Amino acid sequence: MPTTHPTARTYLAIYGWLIGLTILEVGVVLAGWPRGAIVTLLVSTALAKALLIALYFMHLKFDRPIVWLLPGIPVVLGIVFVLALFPDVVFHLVQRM
Amino acid sequence: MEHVAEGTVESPLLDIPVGKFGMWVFLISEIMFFTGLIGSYIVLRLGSTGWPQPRTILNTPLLGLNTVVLLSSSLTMVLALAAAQQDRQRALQRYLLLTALLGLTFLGIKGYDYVHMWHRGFTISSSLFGSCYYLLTGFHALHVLSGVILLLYLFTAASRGLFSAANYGRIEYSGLYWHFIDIVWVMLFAILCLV
Amino acid sequence: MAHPPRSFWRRYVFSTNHKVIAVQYLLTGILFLAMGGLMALLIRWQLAYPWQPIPLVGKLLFPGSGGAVTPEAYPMLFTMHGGIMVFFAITPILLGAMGNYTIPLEVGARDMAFPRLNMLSYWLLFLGSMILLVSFFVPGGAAGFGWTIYAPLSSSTEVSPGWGQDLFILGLALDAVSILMGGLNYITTIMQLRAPGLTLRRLPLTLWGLFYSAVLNTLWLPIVAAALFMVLCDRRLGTAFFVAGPLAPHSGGQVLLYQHLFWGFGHPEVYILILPVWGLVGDLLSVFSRKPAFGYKATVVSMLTITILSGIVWGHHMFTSGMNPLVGKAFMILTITISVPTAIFFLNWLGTLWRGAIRLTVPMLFALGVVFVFAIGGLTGLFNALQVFDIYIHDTYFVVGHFHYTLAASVLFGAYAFIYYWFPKIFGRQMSPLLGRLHFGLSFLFLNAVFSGMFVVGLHGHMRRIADATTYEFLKPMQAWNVWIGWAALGLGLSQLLFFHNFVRSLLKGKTAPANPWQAGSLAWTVSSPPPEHNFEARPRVFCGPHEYGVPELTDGDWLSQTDPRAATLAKS
Repeated sequence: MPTTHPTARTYLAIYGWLIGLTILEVGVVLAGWPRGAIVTLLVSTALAKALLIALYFMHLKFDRPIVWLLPGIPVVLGIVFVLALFPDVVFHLVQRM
Repeated sequence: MEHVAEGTVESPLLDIPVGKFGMWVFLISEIMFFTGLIGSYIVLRLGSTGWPQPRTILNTPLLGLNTVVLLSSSLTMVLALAAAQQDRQRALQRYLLLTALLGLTFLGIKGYDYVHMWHRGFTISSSLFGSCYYLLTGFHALHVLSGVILLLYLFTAASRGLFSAANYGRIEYSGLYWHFIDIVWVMLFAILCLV
Repeated sequence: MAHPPRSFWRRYVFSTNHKVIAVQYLLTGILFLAMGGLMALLIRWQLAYPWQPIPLVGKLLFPGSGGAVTPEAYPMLFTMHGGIMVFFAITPILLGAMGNYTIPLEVGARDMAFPRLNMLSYWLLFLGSMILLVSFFVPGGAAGFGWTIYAPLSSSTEVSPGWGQDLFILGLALDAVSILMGGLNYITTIMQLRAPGLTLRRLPLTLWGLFYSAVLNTLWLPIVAAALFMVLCDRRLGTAFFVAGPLAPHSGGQVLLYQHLFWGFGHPEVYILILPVWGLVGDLLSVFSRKPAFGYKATVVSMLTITILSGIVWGHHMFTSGMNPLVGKAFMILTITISVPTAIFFLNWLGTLWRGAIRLTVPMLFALGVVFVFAIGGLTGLFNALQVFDIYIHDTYFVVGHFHYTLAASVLFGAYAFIYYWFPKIFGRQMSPLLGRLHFGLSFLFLNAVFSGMFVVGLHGHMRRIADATTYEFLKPMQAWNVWIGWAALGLGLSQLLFFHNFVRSLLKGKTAPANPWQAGSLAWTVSSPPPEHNFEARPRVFCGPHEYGVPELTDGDWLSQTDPRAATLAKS
């Protein structure tokens, strides 16, 4: 199987980013940033960390792109499903009988 | 394709080992399971009023520390895999054991955190936030525990020399599982414990 | 390869061999099919003769009431009937048994990708079914909140006390894990372990159906698992995910969330059950018309389309729940859309039959039976898909008639088609065709009598899950129908005795079966009946699809096996 493996240095670099992002997250919450900024930042950093782990530690960056379908399908499906819950559960746009 | 027509060439869907394929299919069901739990949390929270600020109830620095612990365990796990791929047996064993110990540390801190908060009145039934918090992190912790048991098994197998540069599949697939649980925690940490 | 002699336990009980595991699933499924059927008969008796003592078995089952169904027992009957039929009868037979038996053989493999996981999956089902049986005997009896386990009825121990309810959920949860494990094996084996030359275009339709079914299970079962754990938390840990209003310990829970989560799984579930049947029927119609499956590629793509769509139509179970009406319209449109690919593969079935050299074997009769009952069931589904119509017939027997035509009738006939077709391969013996035909004919008649009657009473407004229609003035004219349906149901039940007798007798004394009694082209029929322990001596080489029937250039016979080298030049697929 002709796929390349990252070096230990790459892994350590990714690790560094992960820790750095975590410190940033805790920092802004404890510092009491405004709500909107916190939410945007946290969602972004969470996604960034998840992608770093998935692409490098789980080797997806170095696998054939078609392998991405395996986690990709449930992630997309999950998002669609949860969005479908919004009208009823979040916005209470239910029919009052 | 000529060779295929003559029945000489296999044509699996993905050119990856069977074990890796199987582990990814398993992870698909795990992604959907946590979607059910986390998705429910998201819509319940967004659809409710008076949700408390987590930092007023949870021990944010401690949870941050726990996140660092789990992220470190992902590093040691991937270093274990690298060691296996390079036939460095002692490094493999060391990193596997380290990963398991970091996982146990995560669980220990979690346990201490649970007990502390429960005593202060933040229980699974004291509020919707409490219910969501213990349900989500509880299931996550169960997955970590399963992962630790798996790692300890791998450690004993590695100690008996079962793995090599030609045979490291189980390390790789277990790593996929371990990193997945790490990703779940990364998401929970941000959108449940901090936001 | 010599094995040390293995004990009885390792060979027949704790075996990792997919063929042994398949038989374990089959026997378990048949047992629970009988149990679920018996419950249906009790339900129909109660509806036909409310509160009258049941003849013969009444005093045994309901000693406290002189042999009659009690108001407390009735909800348990319809709950357990539904839960048992869906999860412990049909799933083990069509997914567990048919999946496990056929997949490795038809792809040319020695066993499933993960044999030990396979063994574990059966024993989890076994454990789950034992827990279910225990639930009948705990104080308070079995679960009574409907197989749909709706919150807040299910999530509140004030209104649904008793550990029987929790045990039902627990049994289901174990079964869910079992199914997920099985699905993992099916997907991996079908996608990764096919023999050389066996491309996806040459895969038997049965395996396509099993594959799509497994994909749906993998994606959606975990959603309902999450929901059920939340119900258990509401019941026993004081949470309020699905409890609101006065019953809730604190505010914030939402009842409608449960229905979304449940039907998010529940709708794909019905396709999970029927996709393997569609695949099987596609193959059987081809074998017994001695013609290639008409429009094979279109059928595969249609089944894929349905698989995808099935995940985004669940709201049609919730039209009257108070769900947002605009979202409801979206669900309605998507639901109607499913009828298009369904019509495509259905017409392909007819195209396969058209001008075929039809052989009316027993499996073929049941396959044709599926075509008939699924047409009726599917067409009534179109009515239900429309919001305006559904508001009128929701929770009436019209829906019950619809889903029994598509589930009980189609899926049941599919299960019988599976058993009659594969019995010779599995057990090395042949079943009696005469008894089989009688079984089919009587079942077909009685089945239609039972479930067509339900459309009539349903349109009149007969509600579901009520124990006594005579308490409602407007339903009194329908009571004669309830009596008719009751007797037809008894006829249906008794007709199944023909099957049990045939099954057991053929097992013990049936004629020896040849390797290929049906002259079928797929890989499983190239090995002996029953197959050797590891299926194939050498990895088979595949040169064509499984439906090469009616090949004109042949001088010896009219069909090509998938492993026939001549197919490299003669075959069309």
